[in-house]
Amino acid sequence: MPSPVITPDLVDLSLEAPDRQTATRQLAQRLATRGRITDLDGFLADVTAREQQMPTGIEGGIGIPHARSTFVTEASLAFARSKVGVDFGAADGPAHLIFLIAAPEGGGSQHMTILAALARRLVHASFREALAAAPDEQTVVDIVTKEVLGS
Amino acid sequence: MIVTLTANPSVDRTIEVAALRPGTVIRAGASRVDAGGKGVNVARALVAHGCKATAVLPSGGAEGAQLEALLADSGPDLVTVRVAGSIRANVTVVEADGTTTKLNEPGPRLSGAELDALAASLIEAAAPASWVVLCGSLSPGAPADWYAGLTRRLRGTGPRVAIDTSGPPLAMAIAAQPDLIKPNREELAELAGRPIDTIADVVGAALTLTASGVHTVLTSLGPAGAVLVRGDAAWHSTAAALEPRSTVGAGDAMLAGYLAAGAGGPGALAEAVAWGSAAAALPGSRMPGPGDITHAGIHITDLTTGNLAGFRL
Repeated sequence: MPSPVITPDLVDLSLEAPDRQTATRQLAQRLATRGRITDLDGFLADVTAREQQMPTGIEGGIGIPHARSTFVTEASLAFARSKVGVDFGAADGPAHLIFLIAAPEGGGSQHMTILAALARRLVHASFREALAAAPDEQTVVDIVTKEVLGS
Repeated sequence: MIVTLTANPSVDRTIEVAALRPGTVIRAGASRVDAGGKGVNVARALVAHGCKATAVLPSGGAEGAQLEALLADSGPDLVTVRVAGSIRANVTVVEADGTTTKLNEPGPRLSGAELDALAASLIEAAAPASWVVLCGSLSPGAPADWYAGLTRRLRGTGPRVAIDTSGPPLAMAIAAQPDLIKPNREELAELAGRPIDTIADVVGAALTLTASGVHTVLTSLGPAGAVLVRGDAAWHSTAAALEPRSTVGAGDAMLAGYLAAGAGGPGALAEAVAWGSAAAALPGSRMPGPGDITHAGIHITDLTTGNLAGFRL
């Protein structure tokens, strides 16, 4: 049975990072520690390439860096909350909620499905507020699992 | 009047060769140059049928001038936004056995100011329109939610919004609840997160999108026709088999046909499939005119009754 896409150790409730590269690296490090990616720098190069092609900061203080990469062993979603915010290129300001989607190369369509489901939920202020107010990592996992991953 | 946006247009050169062998010099046969880009194609198809259409696009460099010259002949009103970079040039190599190889440039990286100017021109051009069609890939550097943002800005201003793109821009645009999307089978499977093997799979996946606020999902299925889902109603349509010559632009013609026919139920779906199959029977990205289109052999099935649903694609 595949591992859950998000677990409490993939959640950082008080990320401190000066820029999107550092923020992404810190989240990716969590994936590397759990063996979900095999090469941290290789994976980050794939994310950076995507981010340069198409910035993923979206309206409402959100960043969704993502990549389908040969260095990913299983579909994963890491989440961070940043009090000061991190610039992800959105017109309306820095991201306070950051999701890192990592999908294995040839891993079917899970990557885009997660992205579509996230975008759909993030439109709702109630979803963003629930994530911003979550008291602990498990609460974030519960919210995302129920609302985004639909299980 | 219908307005199309082509965010990353191109000048498309199609070259015919006997056989493509890497690392050798090959004498090419016939070649042709077309204005490229989904929005450009949709506008050309509409104009060929006497519908009023305006194409909004960025233009720059020698390729931009060439693109504008090519479009001046084929009719849509143009709104161009000057950009510093050169519009991309794409090359398609067609071998004698029909094998097609495409070399697509990424296109110019637009600055924030250029993207804003393009958006402002679109919003202005869209004011009198019945539909705005946001088409194709984004230019490098454009944010993934750019189409989603445009959809939200256009909401309530009058025109309805149709989106034909893929990947993250499509995934994010869904959240902005556009009036219409036109995915193909692969794009629908990506959005749904499950394989699409039957007509029932198409309907099931499209229903999840209409349930989340997209009014109409028109899924193009190549030779298997198209499935239209509006609210909880669904129809499948196929065309009599024409000899397909180039599927490039067939989806664009299908979307144009659907909009030209009023973007409604089964009647508009039949028109969409007629235009799409006519485009597939024409070479390159040529758009069909009224003389190319036949309505004979167009078949419509109401899927609400469950007919055909198990039909394998």
